[in-house]
Amino acid sequence: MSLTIAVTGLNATDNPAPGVPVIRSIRAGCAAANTDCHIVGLAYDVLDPGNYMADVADDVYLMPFPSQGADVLLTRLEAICTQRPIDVLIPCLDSELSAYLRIQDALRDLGVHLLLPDEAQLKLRSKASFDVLAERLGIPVPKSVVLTDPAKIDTLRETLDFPVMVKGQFYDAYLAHTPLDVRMCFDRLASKWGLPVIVQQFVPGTEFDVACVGDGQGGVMGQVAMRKMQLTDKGKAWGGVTVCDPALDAFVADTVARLKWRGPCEIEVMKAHDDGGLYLIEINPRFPAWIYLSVGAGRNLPWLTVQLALGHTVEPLPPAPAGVLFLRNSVDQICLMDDFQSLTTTGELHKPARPEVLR
Amino acid sequence: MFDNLALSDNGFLFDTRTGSTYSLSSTGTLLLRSLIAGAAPDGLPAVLVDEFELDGRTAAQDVEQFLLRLRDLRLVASDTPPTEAV
Repeated sequence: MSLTIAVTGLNATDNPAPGVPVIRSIRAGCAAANTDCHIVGLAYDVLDPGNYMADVADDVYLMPFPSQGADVLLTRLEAICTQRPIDVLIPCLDSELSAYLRIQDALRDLGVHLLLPDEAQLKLRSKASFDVLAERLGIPVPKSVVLTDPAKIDTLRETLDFPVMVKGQFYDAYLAHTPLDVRMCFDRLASKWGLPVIVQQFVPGTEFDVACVGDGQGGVMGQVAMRKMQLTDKGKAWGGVTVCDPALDAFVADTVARLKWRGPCEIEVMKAHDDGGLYLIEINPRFPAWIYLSVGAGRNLPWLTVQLALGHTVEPLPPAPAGVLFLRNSVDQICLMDDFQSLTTTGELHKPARPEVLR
Repeated sequence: MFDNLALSDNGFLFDTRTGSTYSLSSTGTLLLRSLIAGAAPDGLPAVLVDEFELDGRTAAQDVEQFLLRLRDLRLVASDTPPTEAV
């Protein structure tokens, strides 16, 4: 059996996208299943390090930015599929999901399978809809205010106690102690990620992050819970350890069931210091960058996603065991000018076929 | 009650629910291992007396402090009864 699997998000800096670890996981899954796989990397930047890493993508294609629209994206993918038909595509960035949702029927006609939530689920998990999550689905979330107008910052104290978390609609979050702090964060986040900006009640506690895959019917097909052990200055995990807490597992299962989430996601949960209560603080609609930990924990969630996208029948995996660590490292990678040139001038990079024994 | 605590022979403790890790002294390791094995808190001073030939009052004070520390770290339930100094 041979599969061609396309993955986006090949940035691998100190704030990495999930693409490279997703590909590493899929390669591990293919090897374990004795399946030949061909990986197509879909990159947004010539300088994404994942473009050039050995044993990551076999082919790399530059993609139009999501802001150019779904039609442009589809045209590009149609062109790629004429060269290399794709069996499964895993989008790894929040900002591109809406476009992929719009073209998923056309992609299915091309033989490209995706495992995505629907538009309503995607909208419901957005940070701007968190109050709806609490009201309609009964999921405990911190109180939040959605800001589109900075003039409302001065009235925040009527609704929230300081400090608060100020979040961009797609990425980034800052702790703010005063309305002036909020104003500075608002300008920074609005210029980078657009409006709205979300201000959320800060819950003192311990954060746990859970990568999981939902079946779209309310079931969890696999989950790996992790606590960060070291952080970058942007608060990203640079090391972590799997945990196993039945209360956390139940919270995640309940959240996925209420949302009827389909596909990969990362659920961020805060366990409050005062009463031990669990609060949903974010749902990212794709795998996290630490997803290779799922392979180490014996719950290869990207490979599970490939199987589900293809419509294979698979049994749900039990929660991951506790005590598996990951530590990220940084490596200076030597890249060939020819590869850089190829990607720059043609928007494509095709690496020599690897010996079968290495696949 | 302690099924979330993985304690190694050298005193390295891992809380599987929180991901937190701790290094215990040999005395702490002995006490926590006794608790995990099912010893009641008020039986712990006797464990120290037997092992280190302490007087009962000192042993009880040490155990009380140890249990308070465990409660502060949320490694045991806050309703675990303290020992009585004797």
